Amino acid sequence: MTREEQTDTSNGEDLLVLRNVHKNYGSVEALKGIDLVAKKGECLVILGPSGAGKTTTLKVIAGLESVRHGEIYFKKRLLNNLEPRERNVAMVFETYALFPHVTVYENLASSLRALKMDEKELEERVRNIATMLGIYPFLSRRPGFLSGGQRQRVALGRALVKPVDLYLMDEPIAHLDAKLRYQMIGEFKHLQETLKISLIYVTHDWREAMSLGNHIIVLNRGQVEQYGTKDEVFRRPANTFVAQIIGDPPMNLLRGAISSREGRSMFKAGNIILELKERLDRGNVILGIRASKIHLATSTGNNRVSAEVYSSGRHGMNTVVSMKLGDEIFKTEFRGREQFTIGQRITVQLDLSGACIFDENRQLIRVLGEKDG
Amino acid sequence: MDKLILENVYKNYGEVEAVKDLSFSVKDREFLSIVGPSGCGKSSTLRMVAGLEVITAGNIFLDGEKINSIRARDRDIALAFESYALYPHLTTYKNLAFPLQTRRMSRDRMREKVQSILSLLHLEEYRDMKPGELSGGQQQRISLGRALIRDASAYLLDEPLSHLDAQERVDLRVQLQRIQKLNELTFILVTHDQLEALAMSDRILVMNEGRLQQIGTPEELYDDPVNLFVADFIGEPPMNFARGTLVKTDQGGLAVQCEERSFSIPRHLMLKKDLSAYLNGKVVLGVRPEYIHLSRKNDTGAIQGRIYSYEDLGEIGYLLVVCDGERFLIEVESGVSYRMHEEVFFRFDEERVCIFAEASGKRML
Repeated sequence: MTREEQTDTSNGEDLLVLRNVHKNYGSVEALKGIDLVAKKGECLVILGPSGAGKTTTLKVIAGLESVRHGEIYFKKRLLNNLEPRERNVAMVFETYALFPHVTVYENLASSLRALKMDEKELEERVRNIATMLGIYPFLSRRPGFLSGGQRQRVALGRALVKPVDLYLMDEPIAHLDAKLRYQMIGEFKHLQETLKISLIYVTHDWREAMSLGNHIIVLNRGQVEQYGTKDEVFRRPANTFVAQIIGDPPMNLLRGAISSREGRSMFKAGNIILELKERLDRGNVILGIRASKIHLATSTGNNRVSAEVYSSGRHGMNTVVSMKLGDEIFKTEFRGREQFTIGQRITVQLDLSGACIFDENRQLIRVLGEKDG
Repeated sequence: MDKLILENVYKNYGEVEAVKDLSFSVKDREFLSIVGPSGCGKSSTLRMVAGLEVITAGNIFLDGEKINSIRARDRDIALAFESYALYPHLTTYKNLAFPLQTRRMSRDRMREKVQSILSLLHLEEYRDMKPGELSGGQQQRISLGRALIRDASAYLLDEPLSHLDAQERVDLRVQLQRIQKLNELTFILVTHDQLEALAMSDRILVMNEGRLQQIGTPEELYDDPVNLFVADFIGEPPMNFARGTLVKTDQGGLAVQCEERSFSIPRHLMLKKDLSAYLNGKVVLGVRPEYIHLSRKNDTGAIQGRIYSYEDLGEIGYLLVVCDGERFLIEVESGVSYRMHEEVFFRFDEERVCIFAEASGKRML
């Protein structure tokens, strides 16, 4: 290891930078110009549907795939031509196996033995990580005697026990059942914040992205749809794709046009007319509104809209309702256990604070003001 | 009126008892879902109703008629199974039209019916393609369509949405419920996904290890689970559990004594039921994340804990709080910032605390 590589950068500094990275498989363009920054001590989540190029991006960073053109910098050093083992990154893929015939301790230790670490330091690292993951009591057991969740933590431990500068994880908990996933996200988050590790985490699940990511990069068909803090991605989605990949139900979209009258701007879609607090240029737009901003209307207040119940069901202590609003089906959730029947007419109030206005090309124009009277 | 009745039904596969003493009924025009983990007997149950499996013991009645020994094709039942069983040499259109051809339907009427199913299940663009050219999700929708196109007394659907991607699945949940309600059909749907069942069904039957655990409306299962299994199976994120011993406190109340601390049981709950028989027994305290609220230090019933992790999902947040070895996930408002290891106080919604006997899993309170 050279002197230069050992010099530490402080938290928040750029650790890994990708510039205009392209990757082809034969004639298929898997990555079409990826730019991203992973900061030290942070978790960067790569979010996207299948086929977006998430795993390819990770492989390119790990050095498992070469790039067609573009640059990868690690601590300001060009990485393109370094072998995977020279890159000082540890990678965990979705399916990774434990050795069934040896103890949990050996499972963790074996990933350090390859590094020729001295036995005392090795033992200390293994015990620390096991404590952190809550698997210390099981160190002398074999994986077969552990529950699914415990085994998962061992697998995670195998990756995290390695002292590397950047951890790369590809859907590490996607195959767990839903309940275990909730536990693991909490563990993960705790671990990442305690150890201040730098991590790039690939997932198709927006919850994992929002839970873990300091920054999120949304990929789609090999291109970056948005790169930003998790707050930016949630509150200021660059386009309707980003708006709809995050949230359950996803953001509701309504096509319409903005016009002005007596100095006030209105959004109009068929019979639906909404008053805007701010002045906007006229034109055809798409209004995006999240489920939490749709309320059952009280007798007062503006922006009340009539809708027809399309279907309804339960989600925990909430009621999920889809409704026909103009030509669109809006999906929302109300707190509580009201009964709705299909075809029933209801009046909802749209709170436009935080609503997004997209242009006809589905790109964000602006986010409406936080307070709506 | 009851559409379907199962009476003390058993199913054995050799030595294995797949379904044990199962009795329930489905009302006419009801949407009933059967949920449970894999191997719980839910699919065997559906196959017995369909007539694809012989029942080992018990009776099944459809529209008041005992159907135990009636052959599958003579039962007035439409089926959609997880494996698509489509005709590989026929197009989507012909696969859908097939069930109608034996029924002496006019060509126009048939075309109309197929067309409406195609549009309902978003299959128009695959109309002239054969199954081999289609994805698993598309084939599954055709298989579902082939069941729905028939006029039948009851519709049995076994994991009909399992091969669809998340967005399609949510869309089809909505469509399935509309088809069932608007046409006043009787649906029995089997799924491993309790969220799916909660989202669509009038009632849900929970099975485990071949036995019925509970049958009820989504809100009954969510708020009043009869045992630990149902409490744990229904709900996401899952219910919080703390294991301990039921003890008497110095003040004469009751508490659940866990390894390092105890949680007192609200007094007015104790009035609801006499728990003295369970004293010093092993119990499990259960509270859902939505039924735990952050509170101030001096509020009655305030429990102290430390923040282990915090997730902000944009519209909602979850705090994982550690409290002397026990952990609780708490649903909180989004947009608040919490520090790790920060001290917090919380209390349980007294009406919503559940207590289970650990050994039997039975709900005591």
